[in-house]
Amino acid sequence: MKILVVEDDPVSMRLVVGVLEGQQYETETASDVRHAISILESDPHIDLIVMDIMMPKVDGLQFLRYLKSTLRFSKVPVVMCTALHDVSTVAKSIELGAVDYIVKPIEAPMLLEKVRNGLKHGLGSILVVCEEEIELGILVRTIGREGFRCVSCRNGEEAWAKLKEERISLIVAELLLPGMSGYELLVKTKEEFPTIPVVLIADSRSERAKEEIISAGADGYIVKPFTNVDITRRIASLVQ
Amino acid sequence: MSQKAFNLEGALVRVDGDKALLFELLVIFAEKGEQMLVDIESAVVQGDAVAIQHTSHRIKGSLQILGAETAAQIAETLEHCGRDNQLELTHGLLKELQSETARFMSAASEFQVNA
Repeated sequence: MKILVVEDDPVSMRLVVGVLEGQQYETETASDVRHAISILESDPHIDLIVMDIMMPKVDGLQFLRYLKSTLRFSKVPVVMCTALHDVSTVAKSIELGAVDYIVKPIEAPMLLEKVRNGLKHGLGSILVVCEEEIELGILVRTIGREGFRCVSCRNGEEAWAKLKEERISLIVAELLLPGMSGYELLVKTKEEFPTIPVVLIADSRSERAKEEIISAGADGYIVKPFTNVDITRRIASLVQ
Repeated sequence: MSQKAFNLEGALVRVDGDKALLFELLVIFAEKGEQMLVDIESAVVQGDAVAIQHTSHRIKGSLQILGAETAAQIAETLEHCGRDNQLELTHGLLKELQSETARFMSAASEFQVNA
């Protein structure tokens, strides 16, 4: 798990990083919002942000507002650090979408508890299932470019195993797969993990009608040849 | 006054008993703290309320973590002066902060020597 720490005080920064790395979390650090944005732009694998509210130039609340209004960052959980007396700022942080807050001065046990809880709010990976390697690569690249973490596999059985071992927020699968088909994967997923949305990609001459797939519980149906926009639009609507 | 120049026990709680990490934080403060005080002094001399608020807030965070309770309290008062644009007391508070931070550094150095 990788955590971005945004803090302009070097002692607070080192404390947070030291405590998190002591628990095997990876960390990225930024001493101001501009730097934090550049890290988020270049690293799609940030799982959580721990951020001070009062920072130079752009404060934490403004940054939080920006994060929550930007699709590719909006699902990254944010834990704010604030002063004890600052009740209105805490309320504002939660209203703007922070998952939690830590009252300063930061204490290691509290920090770890809030981080563990905060990580539960994060978006899991998108499971991409496609037999054909080039098509799989295009899908993963398109989805990854939107800031989502992808788990890819090339058949239904492997996908089913991934579903059981990883935190998955959405499945994008081809209808025709070797072994367990995309349709069977859909049906099994809806039986065992009914809250996970499933989007199926089908050939225009698919043997199963769109209506049959939708009635089996699919949350989206994309016909080949698809465009990047078809994929990103569908995903965006399902993970919002 | 119940506050201490250096509350070692409180500081150790914050780092979950990790003395090596606390030592490291003290080294960082020894390197950066002086510049933080210079930044506050500059803000006070210029009568820049926003800068007083921000620079005092920043050092307050470090001082609280390190168990410099009295110095942290003074930094917080200075921060509020900046926030409320009440600059009359800032010169006096700055002197207090400088003196109390020095007292903290001296007390902390004993810990560092014995660590």
